[in-house]
Amino acid sequence: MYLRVDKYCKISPTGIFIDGKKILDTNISDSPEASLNHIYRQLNVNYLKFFKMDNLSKLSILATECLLKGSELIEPEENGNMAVVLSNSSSSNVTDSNYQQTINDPANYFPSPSLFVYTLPNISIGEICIKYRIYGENVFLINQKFNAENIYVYVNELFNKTDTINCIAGWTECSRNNYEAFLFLVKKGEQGRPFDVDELNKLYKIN
Amino acid sequence: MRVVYKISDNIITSLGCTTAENMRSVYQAQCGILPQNHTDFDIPEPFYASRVSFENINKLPGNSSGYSGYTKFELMVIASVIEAASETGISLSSGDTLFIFSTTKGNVFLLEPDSPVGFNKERVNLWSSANEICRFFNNTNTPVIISQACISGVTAILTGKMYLESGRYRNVVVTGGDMVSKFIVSGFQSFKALSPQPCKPFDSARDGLSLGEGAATLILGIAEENELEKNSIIIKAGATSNDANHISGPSRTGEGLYRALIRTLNGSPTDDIAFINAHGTATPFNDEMEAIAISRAGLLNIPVNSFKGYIGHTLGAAGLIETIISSHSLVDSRFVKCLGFSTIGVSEKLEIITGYDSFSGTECLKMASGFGGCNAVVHLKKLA
Repeated sequence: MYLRVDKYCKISPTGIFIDGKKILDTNISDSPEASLNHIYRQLNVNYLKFFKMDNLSKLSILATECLLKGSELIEPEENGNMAVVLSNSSSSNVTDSNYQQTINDPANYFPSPSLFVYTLPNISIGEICIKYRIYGENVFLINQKFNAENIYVYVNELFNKTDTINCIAGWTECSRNNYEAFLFLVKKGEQGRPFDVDELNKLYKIN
Repeated sequence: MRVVYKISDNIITSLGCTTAENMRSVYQAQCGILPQNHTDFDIPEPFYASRVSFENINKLPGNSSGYSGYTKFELMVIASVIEAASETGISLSSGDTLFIFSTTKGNVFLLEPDSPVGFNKERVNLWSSANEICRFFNNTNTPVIISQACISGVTAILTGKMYLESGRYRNVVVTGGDMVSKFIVSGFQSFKALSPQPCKPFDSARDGLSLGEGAATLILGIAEENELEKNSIIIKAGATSNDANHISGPSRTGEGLYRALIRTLNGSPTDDIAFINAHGTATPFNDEMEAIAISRAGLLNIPVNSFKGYIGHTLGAAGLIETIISSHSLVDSRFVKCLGFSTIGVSEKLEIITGYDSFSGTECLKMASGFGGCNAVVHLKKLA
């Protein structure tokens, strides 16, 4: 039994791609927020909490929705043995800057708890776990660029050493003007694509 | 059997710049949480915090000159790594040595309008800061960086164990830290989570947490268990789990922490566990949640402490610092009192540690929980 990439998904201003096939256009001229809200409506997610999230969490939820849609994993009693291994480059930097704006001016000082809580990248994992009832191992890794090796080692060891039976892994990056998600579902089995560093790099580069 | 073990460590907090200084202060019940001059931080409300003395960091051997081009956060982490690695003979520049970083906010203070000059804006990125620290040590491996809120430190230790077991490296330097900044203080104040006095973990009068700054380093190696010396500390097991409940409030049922405990123990006997070092932030909800998780896991017979009453909540460093203190408590066979606690204030019958008595157990559990509903547990064992 080998580890396989069961399904993979990419979301960026050029569109949404599932297993390499474009399923939706996104509007390049929109701001990331407007674009992510547009995708939410197109995908019929129906999860009102979505609108209070920061862009990193929105993007993470949308990419996970694409991965799990059409499978029994989307509305489980629980995903008790599903792991989540996410990574990005800029952590929660955009939200950090937005929060910093609220405390810069002592005369107009209004630190907001609902903004502060999103100044951590792993909040996006929390949002995914809440929506899809995931209780497995989880980690948020920071890498300058997409680092297939880091994710591969982590996910591989989780399958070797813990009771993980499936894992959502990959990259969710948001900057002021751009966004990019590349998430994949790893499972034991024969279906899908090989799970190794070369394959992950290849899938990341193509759509 | 090959096991992951501790080679050496360092702790930098308000209580000192070496592990020995910190342990001495802890056994003397010293509290490093003091009132801060909040106007220095440009913050309207007063607060308590545990602060690191950079004067003392500069007195450490190998740090006397002070290095230019690094932020205070980076200098604190560099000093911690230098001190931990001294006298170990480990080459920090070796291709066999991996750096793993644990931090929540790193250089976030560079976002402030009057932040220290001379740093590129890019330096606020955690990878940029980690790269600079690796460059300081001439280590060319791509560092692993964990940013998992308040469980970062425990997760980083578990990640170090994973990397060593994967056979890719001979040694792993798990290091990290966090500073007390306007960003963090204002955020916790906005949650009304800060206590107006030094925090009181698990106490009936607890009213919030105390922030702390600090750095710590844990150097790990892998070896055959029978080749290790008596009293070596091994990282026996560990797990993480999410509450899948709320992003800023702990689960009322302790769901994620309970699951992390169960997965860590995996049915093994708990007779040798001398104590549980809880996260114990002293917020009303956190400590209650931990008590429920401990009870659900059937561990109410094991004494519990929190170290937050000594050094506050050191965020990304907390898991590292508190695991290291726990490991020394194990080696010394001596409990660490839960400073700030006097009367039980949680719904479960926890046995909170109130003195520095000796014990005979050889194992302990370290728990951590954080924003995003994340929870982590690491299980340490002292070899006979």
